[in-house]
Amino acid sequence: MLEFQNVTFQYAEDDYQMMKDLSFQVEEGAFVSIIGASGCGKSTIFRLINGLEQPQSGQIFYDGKPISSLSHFSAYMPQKDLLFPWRTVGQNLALPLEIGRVPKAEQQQKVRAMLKEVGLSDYENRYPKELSGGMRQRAAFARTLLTGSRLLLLDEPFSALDSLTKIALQQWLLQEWEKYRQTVLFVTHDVEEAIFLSDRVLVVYDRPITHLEAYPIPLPHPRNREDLKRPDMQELKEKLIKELGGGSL
Amino acid sequence: MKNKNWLSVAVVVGILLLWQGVAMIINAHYILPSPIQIVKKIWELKENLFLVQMPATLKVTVIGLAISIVLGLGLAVWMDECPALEKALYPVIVATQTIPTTAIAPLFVLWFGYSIWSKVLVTVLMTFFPIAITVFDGFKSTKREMEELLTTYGASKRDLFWKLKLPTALPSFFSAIKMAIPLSVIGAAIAEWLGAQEGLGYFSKRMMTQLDGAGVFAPIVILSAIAMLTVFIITKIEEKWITWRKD
Ligand SMILES: Nc1ncnc2c1ncn2[C@@H]1O[C@H](COP(=O)(O)OP(=O)(O)OP(=O)(O)O)[C@@H](O)[C@H]1O
Ligand SMILES: [Mg+2]
Repeated sequence: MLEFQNVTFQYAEDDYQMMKDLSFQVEEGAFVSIIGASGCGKSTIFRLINGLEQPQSGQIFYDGKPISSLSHFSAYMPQKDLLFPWRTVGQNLALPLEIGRVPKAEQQQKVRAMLKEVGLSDYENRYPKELSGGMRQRAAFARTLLTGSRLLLLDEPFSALDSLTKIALQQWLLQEWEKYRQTVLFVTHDVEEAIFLSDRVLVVYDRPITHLEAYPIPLPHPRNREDLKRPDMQELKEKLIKELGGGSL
Repeated sequence: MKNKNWLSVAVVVGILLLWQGVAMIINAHYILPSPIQIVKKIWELKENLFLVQMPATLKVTVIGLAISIVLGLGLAVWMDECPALEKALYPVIVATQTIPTTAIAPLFVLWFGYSIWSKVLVTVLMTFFPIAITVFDGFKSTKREMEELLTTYGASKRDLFWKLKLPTALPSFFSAIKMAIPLSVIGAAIAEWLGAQEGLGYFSKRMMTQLDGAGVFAPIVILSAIAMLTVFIITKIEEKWITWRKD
């Protein structure tokens, strides 16, 4: 379980607070989306979890332990795919393993298995520039999984994709998650995506962020896009869009 | 690509023809020898030029370049590791680039005599800083997001260097080498011109005193050919190695 306890944070360069006394929890094995306007601090929440930034006050716990005492508990997939252009797809996937000092033979075996999992077996020796946007995203996701962490921090993984690829990958991600049940924190500013994927949607309203408004999504698993057409889901979608300031100029 | 190659060949041939024509009109080989006269001269002096003078110059070039690469890379890495050093040195290095090497080279002859080291020093001076700065800028072009990503994987400083900074700077390293090769040849030749007992630069100067225009040009043509050939080879190696660059 991940828990924020009264976290206050401000970038040194900024003259305003990003979040103030923010507390929230994410249960083990849950798929939770965070939505909010651009620049509201969603990525910053991830940077706090993966240790790239430290809160000014308050604490973050994972499994009851302060995260400063832990390492490798979260796997961060940044907003851009950030595949290393000079490494082949296979070598890119091996990066977290190399850094974790996993023996070479084991690296290779894990990378192969993961490539198969994400349907990129034929691309092991290709360079990222030879892949389509959707494939790159899957490769980046595979690399994230190979960190071996049970807490996935996915920062708008699909926002740069065309809508058809996006839908295909959403479905694919759900299948993966239904199989492995990691804890997923998923940042997006696509309301429909958030509803379709998650058990719970957390909405950022204010600045500085003082709380995250939680909306449970009572859709059963495995999910189906048809479910989005349910009247209560349509209603929720409209409500969220309106509250996020959409539909008005 | 093929078309472009032909175009540049045509331009070179055109220039050579023009040169030949002008030289024939002026008809004073001690002022402007024609390309044909130069080629003839190279052929006449081939043993001396290729077996005595060229090896002497190449030795200076290779030693100087090797020292520059080692020192330049070292300084680049060091400045990248240590921002204070960068602040202190970077402006100084840029400033030294404005020093005309030809003006201070005679000083080295004074210090080191006609030994190979006075010439190596000139070569090093001309190539060391461009290498250091270009490679350093290469390190600096490392994407911060990539660095952060590796950090979240638990990367050490060493990991960051070998897995991220070095590959990022590799194209810059090639640029630096390609820039340094002609400079090192020029540096060696200038140093020899100013004071030496062998080498292509020295030979060119000796021919000057004899008002042998073609003899002055012959070693210079060989120097250019060496530089061009080496840069060409490095470019090919680069193309083979750095296949991942976006088109
Ligand atoms: N490294 C940083 N240093 C200083 N300020 C930053 C840094 N990163 C982000 N910010 C600022 O913090 C604010 C929130 O940024 P953040 O990236 O968390 O927003 P976001 O919600 O992820 O936005 P988006 O949806 O556009 O990705 C922005 O106004 C940004 O200018
Ligand atoms: Mg963001």
